[in-house]
Formats: sequence, C-alpha cells, structure tokens
Amino acid sequence: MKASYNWLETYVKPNLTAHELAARFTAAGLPVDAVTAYGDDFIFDFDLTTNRPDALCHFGLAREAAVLTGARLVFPEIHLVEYTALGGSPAQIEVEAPHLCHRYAARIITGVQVGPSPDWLVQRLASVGQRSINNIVDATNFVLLELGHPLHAFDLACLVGRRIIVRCARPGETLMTLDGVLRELSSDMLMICDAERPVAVAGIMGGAESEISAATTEVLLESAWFAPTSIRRTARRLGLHTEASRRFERGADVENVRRALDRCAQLIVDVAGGKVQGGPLDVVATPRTPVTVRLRQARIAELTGAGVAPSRAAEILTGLGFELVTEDEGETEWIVPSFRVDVAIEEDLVEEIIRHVGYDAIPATLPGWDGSGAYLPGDERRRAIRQTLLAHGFYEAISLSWCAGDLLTAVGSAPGWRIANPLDQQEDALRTSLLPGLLAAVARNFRFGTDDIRLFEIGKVFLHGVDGTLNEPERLALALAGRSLPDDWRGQPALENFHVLKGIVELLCDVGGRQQVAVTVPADEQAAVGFLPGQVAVLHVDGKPIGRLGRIGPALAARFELKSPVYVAEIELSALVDGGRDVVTYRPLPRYPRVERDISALFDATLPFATIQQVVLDLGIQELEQVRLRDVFTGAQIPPGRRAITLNLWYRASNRTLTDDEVAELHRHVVETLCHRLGATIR
Amino acid sequence: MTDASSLHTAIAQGYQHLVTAFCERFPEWPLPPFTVDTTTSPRRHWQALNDYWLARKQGVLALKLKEVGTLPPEVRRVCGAALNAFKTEVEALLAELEQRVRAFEEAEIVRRETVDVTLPGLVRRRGRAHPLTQIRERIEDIFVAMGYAVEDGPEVDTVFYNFDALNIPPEHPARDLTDTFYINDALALRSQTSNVQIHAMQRRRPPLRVIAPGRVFRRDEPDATHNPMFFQVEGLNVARGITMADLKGTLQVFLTQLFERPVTLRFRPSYFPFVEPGAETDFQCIFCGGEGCRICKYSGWIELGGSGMVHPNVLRACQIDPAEFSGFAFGFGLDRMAALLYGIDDIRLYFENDLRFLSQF
Repeated sequence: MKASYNWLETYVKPNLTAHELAARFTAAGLPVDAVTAYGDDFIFDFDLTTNRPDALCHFGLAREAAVLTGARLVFPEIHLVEYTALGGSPAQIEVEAPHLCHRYAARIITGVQVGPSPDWLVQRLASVGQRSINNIVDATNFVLLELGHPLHAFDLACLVGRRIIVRCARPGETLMTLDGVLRELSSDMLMICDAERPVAVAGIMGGAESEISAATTEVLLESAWFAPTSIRRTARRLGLHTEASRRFERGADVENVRRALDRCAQLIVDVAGGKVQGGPLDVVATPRTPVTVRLRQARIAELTGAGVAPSRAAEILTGLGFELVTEDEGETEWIVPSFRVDVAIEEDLVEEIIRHVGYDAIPATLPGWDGSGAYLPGDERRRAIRQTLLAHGFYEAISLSWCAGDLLTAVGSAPGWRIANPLDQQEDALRTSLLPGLLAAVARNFRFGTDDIRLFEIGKVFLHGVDGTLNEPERLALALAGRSLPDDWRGQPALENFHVLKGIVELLCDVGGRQQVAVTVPADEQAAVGFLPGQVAVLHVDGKPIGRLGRIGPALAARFELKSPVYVAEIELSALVDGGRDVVTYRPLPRYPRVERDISALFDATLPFATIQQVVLDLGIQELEQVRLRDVFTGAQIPPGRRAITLNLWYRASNRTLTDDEVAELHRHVVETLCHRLGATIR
Repeated sequence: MTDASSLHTAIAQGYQHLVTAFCERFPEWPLPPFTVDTTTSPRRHWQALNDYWLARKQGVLALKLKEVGTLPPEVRRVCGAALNAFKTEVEALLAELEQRVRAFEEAEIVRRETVDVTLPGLVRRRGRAHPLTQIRERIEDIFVAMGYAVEDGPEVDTVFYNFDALNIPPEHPARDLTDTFYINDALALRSQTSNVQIHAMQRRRPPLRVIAPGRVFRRDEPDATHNPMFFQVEGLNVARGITMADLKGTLQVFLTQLFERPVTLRFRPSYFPFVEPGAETDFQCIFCGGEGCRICKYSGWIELGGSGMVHPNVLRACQIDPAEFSGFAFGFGLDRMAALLYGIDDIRLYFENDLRFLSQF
C-alpha cells in the first residue's frame, strides 16, 4: 500500500519528517518498506499485515500517526446538498442475501458531466501510483484511498428497472466484467443485479455494461459491506483480485458505509457537477452488534513484562477510536471501533497499548525453571551414528520429501501417498524410501565429475499405516561408489564393494548397541527389487528385518545413468536408536592360554560361509571360543565349482590349560564334521 | 657413519691385534685357525670373532683356561692370571666393536625404512554433516542447556494441527491450495513447525519448554531465496507468569550463544494468528555491528522470525487455561540462519546434495 505524506497531512500534522514518521509507523507495527521523494511529497511504501484493513487508507494511517505523535486528527467536513427527488424514489434496493451483504447504501446523482478530473485529483491519485480514468471513477478511487471503503458507480440508465438486487448468481448466468472478460458465475457468488441480470461482482469488480461512460448523466453510487469469506472465495474462484476485494476480504468497516457514500457523493458533485437526488437509499440487512472488551490494567504487565500507566493506556485506546464504557478498580471496558476487525479480546488491547508505548519498553528477562532439558529419544545414538558415518568419509544429504511415484516402485518400495497439488505433476509422491533421492544425488555428483562418493541421509518416509493413517518412520540410507580410499597412491586402488557396505552397516548396528545382527540372502524376489541379484541382502536386528543393502541393479543404474557400481543400504533408524542405554557387565579376563588351529579346506563354491560357521558353532564345543574366517581363495589351483576357505579356531578352557591331545581331539571332531556334513576336502 | 667394508676391516684389525698380543704373551701356545666369510654381515663377522675368543666351551680362551687347570699350581696361578687379564682386553675390544656394529645396524634400518613423509595419508578423509544439521544441533544444544526439551512432530499433519488449533481461520490465505501442499481435505504437509506446539501442549502439561526443529513445506516455486521445502525451529515456553520480556531475554541469550558474541535484539509489532501480542524479531547485524552492510541490506538489522505470546485460543485448543498459564512462542528459519552464518546466497543448494557444496562445511 502506497501512501502520500502530503495527503496524510490533510488529516493530521505529525510535525515530523517523512523518514521520522516512517520509523514511528514501523515501530508501531505498520512497517514502511521504503520512503521515496515525489516532487514536494514523500511516498511511503507500507507492507501491512493482513489483520489491519483499517490502515489500508490515508485516514486510517493518519489516525495511527495522531496517536504516535500526539497531533490532532481532523476529517474534512462533508457538505452535501440533497435535492428533493422528482417522482418519488429514483431507484429501488433489495438485499436478498442479508448474511453476505450486511448493509447496502446508495445515492443517486443526476446531471453529472463525465470528463477529466481536476489537476489536484489527478495529482493525488498519481502520487500513489493510480491512473486517472474519469472524474466519477477517480472520485470513488479517491475515497477508497482516503477512507479505505470501496465504492462503485453505476450508470443508472443502464440498470434495468432502476433496481439493485443483491443476490447470489443463478445457474448459467454470466457477466462481462470491466476488464472485458466474460465471467461464468456460480451460485455461491454474490452479485449486484438489476431487475434482470447481474451488473457487478459484489465487492470485486463492476460489469462492463453499466460502466460509467462519456454518455453517463445519472449515477447510482454504491457503498456497501460484504462478508469477507464470500468475497475471498469468489475472488479466488474468478482469479480476480482488486483493490476492492482486497479490502472487503480483510474486513471493511460497516459503520463507514454512510460516511464513504456521502464523502464520495459530495466529491462527485464537486468534480463532475450534478445534483444528489433525495436522501440515501440505505438497507441495513444485518445490524452489527458492537464488540466490547474488558481490560485489566495488571494484564498489560502480566503479558508484556512492561508497566504502562493507566492514563497512558487509556490515551492510546481513545486515540485509536476505542470508547470507554465503564471504569472500575484496575479494570476498564471498551467498545471496539467498527473498523478494528482484528480486536476481540483483552490480549488484543494489550498489543494496541504496547505497540504504541513501543516494544522497546519491554525489558529482557529470563524465566525461572526447575526442570532439565532433553534431546529427542534416541538422539544420543542418532548423533553417534552420524558421527561414525562422518568419520568414515560420508557426507550428509538432505533430499526433498517427494519424488516421482514410479521411482519408489523401482527401488522396491510402496507407491505411497500422493500430493494433491504438487508443484510438478511428475513428482507428486511422498517418499516411501530415501533411495530415489540419494540415487539422484549420486547421479548428480557423477555428472559433476565426482567418482568417489559416500553419502547418507537421515529422514522421514511417509507410509500407509493400518486403518488409513499416515506413518512417518525415520530411515537411514547410505550410498557408496568409486574408490574406498580416494587418495590411495599404492597402485591398484580398492573399490567400494558389497562387503565394504556390509561392514559399515554392521558398524552402525554396533554403534546403535545392537547385538543380534544378521545379514541374509533375501527370501523373496520383492526384497531384491532394484538391486543386482546376487549382491543384495536383508539386514536383521533381533530377528526382525529392518533394512536392505546391496548393489543397484542394471535397470535402476540405467535410469539414473550411474556409470559405475553404486552400493546402497536403507535401514529403519528406530531399530538402531530406540531403547535405553546399554547395560554392560564385566566378564573376568581368561586365566588360561588359548590354542589356535587353522582348517584349510575346499568347499562347494555356492556354500555360504555363514553355513560353514554355523555348522561349527552348532557342535556346541564349550572349549571352542571363536571361529574366524582367515581367507577365501579361488584360482587356477582350485577345482572348478569349489573354493578354498581357511578358518581360524580358538580353543580355550576356563578352568585349565588344554593339552595338545585334548585340542587335537576337539579339532579332529570339527574337521570330520565339515567333511561329512558339508563335503569339505582338507587341503 | 660407518659403511660395511670399513667395519669388516676394523673387525679384521681387531683380530690381528689380538692374535699378535696373544702370541707375544703366550708364545708357546699355538692358535687354532680363524676362518670367516668376508661377504657376510658385520654382525656375523663380529659374532665369529667373538665366538673364536669367547665362546663358552669352544672359544680359545675357554680352551686355554681349561688347559691351564691341568698345570701344576704354581704355573697355573701365573698363567691363569695372565690369561684372565688378556680375556678382559678381548672383551673390551669386542664390546667396542659391537658398539660400532650396532650403530651400523641402526643406520641400516633408518636407511631402509625412510619414507616420503610428504606423501598423502592413507585414511579416508572425514565427511561433513549437512550445514543445516550442524546449525540445528548447535541450536538444540543451546536450548537443551536452557532447559528445553527437543520435540519432533509430524511433517504431514491434519488441518486441525496445522491451522485450526493455531487460530488460523478457515479462509486464511495460508490455507490456499496455492500456498500449502495437501494430501487430501484432512491432511497437509505442515506449513510451519508450529503444529508441534499443539502436539507438545497436548502431550505434556505446563510448565513446559519445547524446541522443535524440522522440515516445513510451502508451495513456492524454487528460487534463490525460496524452496518448497525448508527448515524451521519452533520454540515454546508455557508456565505461570511467562511474559514477552521472558521471550526477549530468551532469544537474546540464544543469539548471544549462537553467534558467540553479545547480540542486541529488537521487537517489532507484527501479526501471526497464533500469538497475541505478536512480534517480528530483529537482531543487530553481527557483521557490521549495526553500521549497515550488504548482508543486512544497509539497515543494521537482520530479521530472525516471528514470535509472541501464545494466543488464548491456542492455549484453549490444548485444554490449557489462559487465566492460569501464559506462554511465548517463536519460530525462525534454519535455512536463513545457516545462509547468514555461511554466506550462502542460494538456498536451493541445500537440497542438491552436491559434494562440492557439502564438502565446504
């Protein structure tokens, strides 16, 4: 909203420079973004909050300025000469929608001469960026900018039956608006109609057919109050946002209807001649009940921490148009002026007072407290997991919460919830997996020439829960590609591979304090979707599947244009971070030495290592402390379809030193079991 | 520094010296032959010489002392003394030679094991947390130390939590399809973290102190200063007797901790449906100290965000009696705060996950 300093000065003499006044306005919650010189004038560019439609005009701003500076507020007197109408009422007004139009007032002015406006009027409008149209329209615009009340002037000769009917549009009705667009109307749109058809969209824009033209001699001047929600909805539906709709949808002043009407009628007579025919046609369809608000003096300090003298508080409220009804001990009651649609409760009054006293009067204190702070549950582990990843060279990504729906199915995830009004119709699916976002990040970095990538993301996905609810579990996803050690200068560099990924996943389980961790071959095809078959696994914690890991499959790799193998994992974060702190109980250190033995044997190449290990552990040998994998080897010396595996076994008894014979006996049992049960041949 | 050949020469000279001395003192005793492979290491050469003279059983001196034991007592005493005196000389010489051998060996190790210490280290460089995570954790730390509990709330929430309970009227423009993402009539992607206020007040009873960082969504076309997804932090403190002065003090302490220097704060009256009175908070530009610079757009002040006293309607929506309790709430953008701290001029970079960007933090 633009406002002119000189124009404001016609109602109040602030005795401040434009810049000083702007600073006062801003400090009082009427922010001035800029002050620009305009001839001998200064133009304020206000950025007002939506709750203050009363300040969308010069007089409203002058009222604030008067309270801010202590200057007197004066409104020019209205001198209106009403001529006795010839032949009874010159027009008729009916309000058929009293809930949407609380008041409709009009005046008839005859004998006007439509033409250019006088210079002063053209200048006033130009100073705030408004183009002059003709003297009648300019008068309505002037009053809009002066009093904030939108008005409309009809060419009375164009109103069939010289009637105004305020009603909702009927099915199939249309209206050509002033901007030359033929509007299709719907039955919830409030219209101003004559005896036959709509002639204006109420509170938004007039119709082209009843527009003031050079030939107009009789004017019906409208000043009305329309319900904000109705105006807002209609303006949005028609895509038609005007100075008038902006004010009505924020809330116009119903008590301003007559003043604006009379002020404008006088102005029209002043600038276009003509006579005001008879008294006002004024239909009060829904009377307004005044709002009163109680203010306890103590409440000001209670809310703001700043003390304000009762006399100062009363002075501010009175200046802003509030009317004192009763005064009791420490308590006053005020009638809220009709233009302050934003004030309804005591707290609102406190804000009025404190913003005029100045927010700088509020001291800075700290509230007392006898509690303690707390992080999110699981945050200690969440942060530890993040730190572990950072220490292993991972960078943290943050991706959008939505993506193309088919990408989710491509990574084997559910299609998920859809955004009804996405920015991009292609990307309307709330993510059910972090993988599409992470793969897009990998692809982008490949394109920019980064080959060695370690990325992770921690974030929520959006899933369908039981009985139609939306669940937001937190996930962790990892992606690896390229060299494991980018700066390795020792010759053949080690590349990221499945087992590097697995190692990191197991490390994170360990950081999360999980002990029952297993990585298994997927039981069904669905679990492998998106991955390269043969390099995909399911992660289990405490016997429950909590994630997948593996190498991205060829179809997905092609889709993202991944030029080298990419390894990813996605894990339910709650499975790693939930629960209390680990309970650690010390175990005594071993008192007797261990004996190590290796087994080097050929196994069927497809026999999983986990099976071999399990078979050994299942023997239940108490003295067998651990079984470790030393070496896996395939090569020219090994028969096809076989692979050489070397196991390292530790034997130890808790109560004595094992003898060579005892160990030999135990070890022979292990070797024989591997040979008989798993077809191993000792090398 | 001694090289191997000069050390061999020294050991050979030591041998000659001892042989000469021995023959002079004990001319009647012939010496067994001493053979040594001269291509061997100085250590072996020394060891051979040592064994030749001093080996416990077959060394020259051990054998001679044994022989002396068979002589008559008078001769035995004189010869024994002479032999022992000679043995002491042998030991001294061999000890001195061993010193030189050890020095030679250590020098060898150094020569063999010298590396180019300027070659790069062989551990992967650490990664970086996202700048928004880094600042979020700093903010969490500050508020937790001030007694706040970190809360998490749904990113997709019902219209009740996102709007109704926050006193945002049904026709408010923020609810428009052009402004807020909807799943359906009942569910929206939260347009501010303020929904957590409601969840927190329903879950915990006052007094409560809560901080809620998180993702929020607005239907803005992305540009340098807008993104349809961004991050906010919400703060809430509800107790008996909470005032706007407490809000001011709290934000002042927070900013002072965050920027690690005293920060001046100011309130400007503003309007947010869920607070009354409402304020926009500015802090004096930390880059120019209020003088005016490019970052504060020459105003001397930087906008933090909206704040105010929790609206009675909001308290009531959470079954908290506004006559008994009052509270303050504030919210601000993490993206803008990080942009300010790091000088980032395009917030879209946050979500492109470009390693050239991420590696800078």
